[in-house]
Amino acid sequence: MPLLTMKDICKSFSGVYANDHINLSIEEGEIHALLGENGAGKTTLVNILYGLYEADSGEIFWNGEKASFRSPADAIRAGIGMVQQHFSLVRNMTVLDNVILNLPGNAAFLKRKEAGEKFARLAAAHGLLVDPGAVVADLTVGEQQRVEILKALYRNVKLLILDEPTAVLTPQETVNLFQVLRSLAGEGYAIIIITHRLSEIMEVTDRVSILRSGRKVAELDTASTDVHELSRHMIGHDIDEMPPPDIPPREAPMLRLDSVSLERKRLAQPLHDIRFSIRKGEILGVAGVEGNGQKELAEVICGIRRHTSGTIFLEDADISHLGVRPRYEAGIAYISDDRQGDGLVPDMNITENLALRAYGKPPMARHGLVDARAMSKVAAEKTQEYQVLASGRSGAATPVRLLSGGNQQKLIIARELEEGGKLIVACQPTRGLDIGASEFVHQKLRAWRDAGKSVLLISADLEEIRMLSDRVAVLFGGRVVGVLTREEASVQALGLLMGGVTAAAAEGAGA
Amino acid sequence: MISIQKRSAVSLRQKLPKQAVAILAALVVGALVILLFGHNPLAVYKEILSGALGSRYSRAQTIETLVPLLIMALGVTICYKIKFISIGTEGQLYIGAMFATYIALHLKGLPGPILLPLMLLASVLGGGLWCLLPAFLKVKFDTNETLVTLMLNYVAIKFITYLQYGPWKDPNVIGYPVIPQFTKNAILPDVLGIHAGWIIALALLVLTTVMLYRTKLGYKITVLGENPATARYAGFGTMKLTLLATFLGGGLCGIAGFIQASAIENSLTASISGNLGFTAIVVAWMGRLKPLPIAGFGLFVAVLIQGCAYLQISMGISHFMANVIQAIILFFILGSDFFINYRIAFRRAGEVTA
Ligand SMILES: Nc1ncnc2c1ncn2[C@@H]1O[C@H](COP(=O)(O)OP(=O)(O)OP(=O)(O)O)[C@@H](O)[C@H]1O
Ligand SMILES: [Mg+2]
Repeated sequence: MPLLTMKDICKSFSGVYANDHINLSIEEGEIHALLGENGAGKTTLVNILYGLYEADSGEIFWNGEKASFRSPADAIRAGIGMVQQHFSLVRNMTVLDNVILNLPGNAAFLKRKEAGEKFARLAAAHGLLVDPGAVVADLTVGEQQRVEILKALYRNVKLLILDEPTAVLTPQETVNLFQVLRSLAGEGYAIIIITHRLSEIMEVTDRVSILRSGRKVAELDTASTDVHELSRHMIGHDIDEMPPPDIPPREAPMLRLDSVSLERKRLAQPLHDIRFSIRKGEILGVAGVEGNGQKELAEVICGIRRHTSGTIFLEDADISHLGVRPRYEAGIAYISDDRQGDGLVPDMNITENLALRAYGKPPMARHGLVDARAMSKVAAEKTQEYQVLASGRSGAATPVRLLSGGNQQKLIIARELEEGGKLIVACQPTRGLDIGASEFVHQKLRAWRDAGKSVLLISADLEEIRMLSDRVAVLFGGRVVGVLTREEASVQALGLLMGGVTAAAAEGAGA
Repeated sequence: MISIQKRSAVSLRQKLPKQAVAILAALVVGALVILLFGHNPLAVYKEILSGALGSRYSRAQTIETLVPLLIMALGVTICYKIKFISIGTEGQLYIGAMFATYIALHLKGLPGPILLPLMLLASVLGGGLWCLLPAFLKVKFDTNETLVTLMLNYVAIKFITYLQYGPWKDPNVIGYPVIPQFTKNAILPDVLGIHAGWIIALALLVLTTVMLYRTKLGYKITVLGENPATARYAGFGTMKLTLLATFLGGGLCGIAGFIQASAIENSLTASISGNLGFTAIVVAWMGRLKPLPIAGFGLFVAVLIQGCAYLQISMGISHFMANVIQAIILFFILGSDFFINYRIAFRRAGEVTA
């Protein structure tokens, strides 16, 4: 008897099916992947299971009994836990308090000591290392994820759902997570994992269900399939290998940072003496373990944060003292990696979000008045070109919080890749995108480069960095610890630098 | 077990009957209270309506209540749009009125068509600055604007009293301290039998609507309120924008003060607001921060206020009781907001299947 069976699950949003008669069944100890393009309906399906949405029709059997979960509390009580695409931790509370928050058995006084012991036991048993006394806001994304998992385990779940857990992890953290998942499966836990990375599916899962436009098109045994078959089921054709870049960059620098530092009190990661330049027609990759100054570097270049010393040149003009807006006008665009945080306004619609940069200029605005029709026209063109998929009839009037994660990402990219730009700071540009959409974005960045413009590609995905970049800079502890050419940038070389082992240090150790 | 869940999306179809139901429920509960007081609810409601709309005079009174109510509701709406939760409408009204009064008393030689616009501008400046102060404290020192604006209400009212007893006391009135009456050129003229404040209110309704939905400024204000991080990302200059929006919001409340002082009291006293400032906050929320619904609810509330005031005369119901009826109706309409956006699920504890 399977642990979970979902039968003929249907869910539509304003008349369009997000889930169309989906069947799924999962055994104890099984790791089951959900794969599918952006907007295929993966998150919707697990949200139904977790009690966040109510299915229009269909049945759920849990341990062989018919069940219906009308809220996450229901699901958790039955034994289903979920780590959502966007975490739901209380940021200024401690890890332990987050874990015991809202437990059904809580009396008026919390038994922190007891809870702490149980927490420590669970953490040790599953290799989920976090300090229970730390405040969540101070944790890295990887650690926050571990807290979410512990929170579920603490509630004695049998089935754990993870929605794109690896999108926010470093390669090393991904390896750790997979170890944890395997050990959990070994103990009989069932796991549903959503990911766009085919290699990860091959590595960690037992079975794969593939969704396409709300329908389940295939269910395969991982052992007897390969990435080519997966991608054929998913997008209808095989993945194309990307051609290597051909046009060499020009000599003239586009952007130059001259010993730029960002050193203030209470800064998560200061930047120290950053020097590098990006030439015209060049993609400069920035590799590094997340939290080593990537976000700070991006924000300093875009003017969101003011650096405290040093100089930034754009095409030989000193832009150090310009604010965000003038720098954008001068040609610096920015794809943020935090779509719900600063990249988008979740409660405003697609049209309004696309207008964020150009709202003030013709055709969108004249004499201080905005032209709604012109905005809609631009939105129609952009959503078409970038295939931003909004469900239902409201189209471009849909609030972006209702878009699937990948479609939100496409929206930011569509907005930032503007004609007039010169340099784009692209932070995790393909995070959460399906392989087809990722390929599309890579092509766009290449085309941008081939037009003599520049890209600063900040990514946690080494494959992406190595595939696109002309040169790769490595950030460690807020410093650039090395700049490698395309040829030098092997995974090993990058890996060493990302761990803070510079060539000099390595030699020192060898001698 | 009872749990409260946020509804995923609220369609207009879902919303309209609920708001109708809310008003109906409010009237029913109001009726029960009236019964409790020993009156006939239907008769009372009829009297409220006729008291507010029954005659030319009462209609004019209702409009004159609506004018400051609407203007201040629009003012706080601008503040709320950027999540600046001000409850300083009263204070801004008084300081606006004070600035206008200063002009009225010191430049009384000017002809009306010059003096009145000057008074209006002064009131914007006064109300705007009184709102800018807490905004400045918030952006600089991260103070809580709700507390600060509340305190500033008391400061403003006490300051008016001080002026009345001290420096601005009319030397020609003996015995009772008052601020001098305005000269005729400082008093808003009547247009169609109602003081010209209604034209100002109407103009501000249009201007605020256009500003919020059609201008670059309005777009920026919306983005800043919905997600400040995105506003910084786009380089909106969030600090300046906050100060500008709060100045405008306070400025509107100041205009209400100018109108009350000039057209209603023909002078400045510490009671020109009639507590309309706080009611305006209720109206802004009822209208969900959208100008047209605000105007609609504003009219409803003005009718209620005016009609209840009339109850005392027509049916001998004390104005305390009238206030209770009024408060219950407002409470129920605001409460309906909750039921429109959330649903309550009833379930037995531990139940999994349903
Ligand atoms: N609450 C909602 N209201 C309206 N439409 C919705 C809602 N939730 C999801 N959708 C729509 O349903 C479709 C499926 O969305 P879902 O989030 O399940 O996709 P997904 O497979 O998780 O995609 P991604 O890989 O991009 O995260 C999308 O078109 C999305 O816009
Ligand atoms: Mg998703």
